[in-house]
Amino acid sequence: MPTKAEKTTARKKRLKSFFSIDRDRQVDGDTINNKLLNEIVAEGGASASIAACMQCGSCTGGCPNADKMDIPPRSLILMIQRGEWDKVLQSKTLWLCSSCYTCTSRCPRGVKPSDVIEAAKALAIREGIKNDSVKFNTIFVDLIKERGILFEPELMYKYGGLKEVIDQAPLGIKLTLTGKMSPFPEKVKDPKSFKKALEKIEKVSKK
Amino acid sequence: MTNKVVVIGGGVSGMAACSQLRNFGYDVDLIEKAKDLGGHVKNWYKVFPDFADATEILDKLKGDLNGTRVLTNTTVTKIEGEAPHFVVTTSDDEIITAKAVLVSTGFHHFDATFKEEYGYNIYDNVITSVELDAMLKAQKVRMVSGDKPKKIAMIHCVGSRDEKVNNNYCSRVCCTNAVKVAIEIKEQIKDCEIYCLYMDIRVFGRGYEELYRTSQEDYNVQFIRGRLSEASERPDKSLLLRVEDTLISKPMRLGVDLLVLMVGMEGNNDLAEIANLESGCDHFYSTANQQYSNNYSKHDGIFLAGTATGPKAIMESITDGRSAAAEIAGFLSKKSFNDLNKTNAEKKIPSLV
Repeated sequence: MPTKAEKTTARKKRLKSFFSIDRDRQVDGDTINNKLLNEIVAEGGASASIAACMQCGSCTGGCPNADKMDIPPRSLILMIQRGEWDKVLQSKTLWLCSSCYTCTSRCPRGVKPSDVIEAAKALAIREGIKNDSVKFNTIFVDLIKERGILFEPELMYKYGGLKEVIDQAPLGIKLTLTGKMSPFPEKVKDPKSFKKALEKIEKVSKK
Repeated sequence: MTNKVVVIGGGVSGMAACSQLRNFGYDVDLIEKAKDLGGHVKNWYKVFPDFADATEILDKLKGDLNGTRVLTNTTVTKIEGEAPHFVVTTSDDEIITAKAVLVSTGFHHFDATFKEEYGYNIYDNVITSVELDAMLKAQKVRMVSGDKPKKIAMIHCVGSRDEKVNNNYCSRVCCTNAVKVAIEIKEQIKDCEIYCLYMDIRVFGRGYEELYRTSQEDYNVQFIRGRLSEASERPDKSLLLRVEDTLISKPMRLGVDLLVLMVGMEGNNDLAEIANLESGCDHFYSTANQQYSNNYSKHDGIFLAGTATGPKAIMESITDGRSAAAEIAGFLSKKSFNDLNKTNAEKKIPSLV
């Protein structure tokens, strides 16, 4: 059974080309709506102040990953203001954001693009989007829940099998030699309170 | 000898000047061509940035006229002589001798029919910001059909920043006015969507930027960066706008029920020949020096105030009127008018406009 996200993607692909001419070349002003904005506000809290964006580009200018993004953060906020969920959902921007908060710290109007992206991600995951980033994040969170501290080779193995472990080995060795990574799996010192903290977070996020 | 100053134009700057001139002890004649004082401001409903009632501002200024002799329904037909001996002839053939003359004749609105592609006077649901303000005042923003509009587009810079209509300058107040009326519409019609089509948002004064932000945050007014290229009417009398969304770099089509053209200001040159005043290439009167003599004209003893010398907001016009009154008082209190020769020298500096 295809998810809603997959259906949207398939429909977009069908519509995209017309005798090999891009059909996505004009903005349809009549589709502008604030449904998505309200959803994101509900997800990420009213303090993200998306509506206040004046398109200055401070966020994009400071973003360390902007050169790799298909939609820069400024445009992503605009898409959300306009209600273009399909474009937001398909953009790689959501998954390239490293949550460094540079954009949020520099915005002159108090917009919090990092929170907005976080909220959009949550909506995307709920819609059943599947990609490497979601896979990675899911495994990451599962491992943290289990062990409390990350054991990187294990993460790599679960994410990409033995090939990924070998591919990342040179970096792993470097990190180990500089003391940034332990070569052996570790455990959190006080598993009881860690478990309690996790339960508390889950309780809060369910509210 | 007379102790009189003639003020021509009874808008906010003229009235503010009269009040100060009276305080300085001059006899003041205020000549207004319309039947009431107040200029354009008397037509407005509420004004930015604090939604003050326009009538409240006028009542205050009228109350401060302080014994000024007001001549309404009157124009000036002739100004003869030199400072401080002017002879002013009115349309009623009254002859007034005056020491100085203040020209505060204001502006007129850009005639939107010149932008034919926007369809003013062609399509029913295209109106100007002046007409919108009257609708807001009557609490009745409606389409021609009498229905409430669900989508309204406000077009910034109509008749401003446009070489094609020979107005290269920015009218300064339209952006803030657009933001203000957008909020007012939202207050009167809650579910109405508003789109501002702008090139730059120029909200420069105290409290203006905050108003712009409020319109976005609290009223969800949408700002689309692009100048309207053309509007066309659809069979149901709604309008189809063609514009580039320059933030996305893609053409956009947008359907709206009502199109509001934010018309700019144009200089009023009615007195150019009578008062021997020069105009800049923006058609507003030239001042003696753009930086430090903005109330002096190039003609000694004839002073300028308000929007006669370029687009200004209401508050700026009032301040400018008072500043002109101070300049006139200073000018007339000089011991000898020979001193003027010195100030005349600086007036040879060419002005930029």
